[in-house]
Amino acid sequence: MKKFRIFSVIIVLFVALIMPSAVNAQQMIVDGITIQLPDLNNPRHQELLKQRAKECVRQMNTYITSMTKKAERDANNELHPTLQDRNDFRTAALELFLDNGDSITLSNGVKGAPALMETSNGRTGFVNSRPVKDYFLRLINMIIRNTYTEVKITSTDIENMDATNLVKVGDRYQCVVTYYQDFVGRRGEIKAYADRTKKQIVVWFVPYHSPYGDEVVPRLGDISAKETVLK
Amino acid sequence: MIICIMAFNACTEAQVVVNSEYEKELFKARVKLVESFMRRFNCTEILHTIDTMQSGFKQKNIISLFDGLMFGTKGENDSLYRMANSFANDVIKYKTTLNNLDTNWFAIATCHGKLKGKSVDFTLILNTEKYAPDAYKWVIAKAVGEIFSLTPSESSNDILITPLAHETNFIELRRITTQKDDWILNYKQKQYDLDQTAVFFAYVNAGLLDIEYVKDLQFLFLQLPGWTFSIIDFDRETMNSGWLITSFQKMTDAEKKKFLEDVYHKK
Repeated sequence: MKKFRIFSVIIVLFVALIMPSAVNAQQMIVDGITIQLPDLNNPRHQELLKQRAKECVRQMNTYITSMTKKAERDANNELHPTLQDRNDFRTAALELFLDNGDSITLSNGVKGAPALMETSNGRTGFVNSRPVKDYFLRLINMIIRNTYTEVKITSTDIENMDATNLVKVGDRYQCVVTYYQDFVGRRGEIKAYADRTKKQIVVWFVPYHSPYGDEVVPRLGDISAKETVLK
Repeated sequence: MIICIMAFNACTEAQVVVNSEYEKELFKARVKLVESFMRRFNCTEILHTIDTMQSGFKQKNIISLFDGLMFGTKGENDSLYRMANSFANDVIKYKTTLNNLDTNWFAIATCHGKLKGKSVDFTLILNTEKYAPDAYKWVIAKAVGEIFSLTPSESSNDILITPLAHETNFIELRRITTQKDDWILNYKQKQYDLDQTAVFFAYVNAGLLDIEYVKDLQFLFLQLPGWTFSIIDFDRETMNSGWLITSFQKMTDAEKKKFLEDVYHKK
């Protein structure tokens, strides 16, 4: 009996030494390469990834603010941002989305519908969905076509964003970040429209093997708008 | 490079200017996600204004998850408030926790869409379902709506498949699909109860029904023994906002069993 116990302990130690990361290791093979994945049961991994998700959302919001910023003359009397600048910000924002906002490729390779932005009208309560690409284009057109002489879009900072824990979906991970967005549209001195919308955005984490190591990369997905409060 | 510099400069402008300590407190207090509601219900997250060193802090935490406007002006003498306290005590007594993978919580989504081009509203009841050892998804358990109650525009003893139809190779079966489509229910077996959920799936599969958006969303929970409650999202500028309990009532195990059997089609 004593020999059996000692033998059992040796076997357990042997297994523990040979497979040290077996308990928590998450791996996946992408294009023939084994990628180390985060451990969703590890609170530290969860917090780090949630923080990255929030940073990705903040970056998108920064681009949105930039693409709708009021044009001002610089030292050379040139208006900035130009239409090209606005389009560059739009392109940069779309690059934060899965498949650049074109379509969400599901984990089995099947192409799905593009990432959608759902927006609500504060006055009518009407809810509308459109691809994110079109939503950003409409924002820029609002400025170009002088729907408003000035548009100001500001969003919640990271410390006031909230995020769900990551969950596994196929070979990827997903969480949802919630934040608030203020929109003010002016015509001259008059505040023509203003609202505060609560938004929820899906953030995907896609496994990626780079020359510098394995990681999961955040990419944005659908955005839904909740109740709008007129300010 | 230029975009990076411009983006960096714009970084500070992109954020909401939270003007006051009060607004900061509002953001912190708001139950922004359903997951946050679950964390507070499970007391793994405590509302920052509650002193955890004081006894009864867990009860206070759970009470803070109720829509305060449902309680009258009588304060702690309000009967509903006392009932809420009883609810909170039971949560702690039974050590009930909420988890995404529970089989006894449901999403009730009121959807707005188009059926054959006409605007319609209907309700979908969804629950979570595990599909892999470490993954789950939402699935549609039930569809409810007037549009799924297929009622014939006319009912009459004259609308029937005649008793000798079998002698003519049931030619009449062709007629029942070429005359008025909505008369088809006149030909069904008396005991057959049409399943609204099946009608929903058939409509969508045939390309007749599109969902445009979810008008209203609430969640129903049956985990707490003896109780059921539902939550909705209150978007208001107060400390009591976000996902909050909007209704709660006593529910026996037998009543819960009946409800679950209906939703899971186990009759």
